Amino acid sequence: MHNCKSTKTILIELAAGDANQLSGELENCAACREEFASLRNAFRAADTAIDLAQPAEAFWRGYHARMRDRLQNSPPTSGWLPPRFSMLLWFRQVLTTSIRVPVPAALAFVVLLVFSIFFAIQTRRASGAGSILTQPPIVTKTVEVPVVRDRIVTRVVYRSIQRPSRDLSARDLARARDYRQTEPAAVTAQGLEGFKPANEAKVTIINGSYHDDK
Amino acid sequence: MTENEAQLIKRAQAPDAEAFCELAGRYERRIYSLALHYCHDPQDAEDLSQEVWLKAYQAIGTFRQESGFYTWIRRITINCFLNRQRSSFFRWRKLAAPLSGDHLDSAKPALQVPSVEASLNNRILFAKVMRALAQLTPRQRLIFLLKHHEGMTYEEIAAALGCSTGTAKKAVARALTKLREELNVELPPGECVPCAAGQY
Repeated sequence: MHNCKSTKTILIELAAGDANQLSGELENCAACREEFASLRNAFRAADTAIDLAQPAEAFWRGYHARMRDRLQNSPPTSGWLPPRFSMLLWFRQVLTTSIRVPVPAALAFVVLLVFSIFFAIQTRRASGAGSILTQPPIVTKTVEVPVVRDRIVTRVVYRSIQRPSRDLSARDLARARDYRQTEPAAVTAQGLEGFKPANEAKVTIINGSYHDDK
Repeated sequence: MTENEAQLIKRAQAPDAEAFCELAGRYERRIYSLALHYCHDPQDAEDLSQEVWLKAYQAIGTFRQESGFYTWIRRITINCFLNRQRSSFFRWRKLAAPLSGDHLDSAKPALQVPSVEASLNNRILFAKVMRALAQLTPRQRLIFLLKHHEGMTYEEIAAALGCSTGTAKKAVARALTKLREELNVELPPGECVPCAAGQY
């Protein structure tokens, strides 16, 4: 018998299909014919059993009703989608797609990821410690500071002129003496107490004198 | 694809639930059969097949009719199966009980109890085949069904399930081995002689 892999596959293919008998070299081989018949019997038995397992007609009515109920509760996507929605659908498909990965490969990937994160954190810490030792860079910034304006204080000072009176009579002198005695507060000259001079003094001189008023 | 089917698809895309139900009615038995032999439990098979139709209904707007409707539905079915397997792996392992003849006699509403006319041989055969299939993993059973019942090529199965063609071939070979063991088919002695591949 041709017991090699390719002959087995060919025999299975033939037995699973519609072929009723072998042809060519395999037809002349008694063992091949026997194997082929055995395979065909196995397939026929499987067919019979699969058909027997089908539910009775009464089952399908209930099945249909249950199907209709389920379909009515969940509406389908409506017809063809325009390209914009197709793109959305594609993005959704990309985001929700799942791939089968062998467990060892997935574990290796996770371990690699954890180690790389760990080493990245360590490297960052080390570089952070080094920067403390070095001088911090000098940054020049222009900051606008509000300037307080100088207060200008203006005070008018009258200058009193004491003229020597050579020809004052004794009568005038006596009158002045009496006035000082009767009105001492009025005679006291106004002082500069409480006046704080600014750094810059502005003096306004008013031309003329009280003699001009006359 | 018949023109009637194309019209039904257009109506279902409108959306029209009735048109979709009519479409589903054409293929529901095949999908249910796949689900039943995949999970080996009538209740789970109904849940799974209903889930397939619900997903198909929700996505009918994206069906561009570049392939046949059944090919599209079968693709959704396989994805549903694989997702279910991933989400509840341990539950699938627990459900390895075969759909035996006793199981047929039980009060499971979904399964057709073989009538009185059904021969005893059929009952025994059914029990044996189900016992053989129960020894496979759900994935191996699915590969066997896709190959034998659906007539898909190994390349198509490999692409649909995301496995190699070698894996698909091994699954089918394993299913056949189990079937022949249960059916008490004598395996011919393995005389290995050089094979003239392709010259048969």
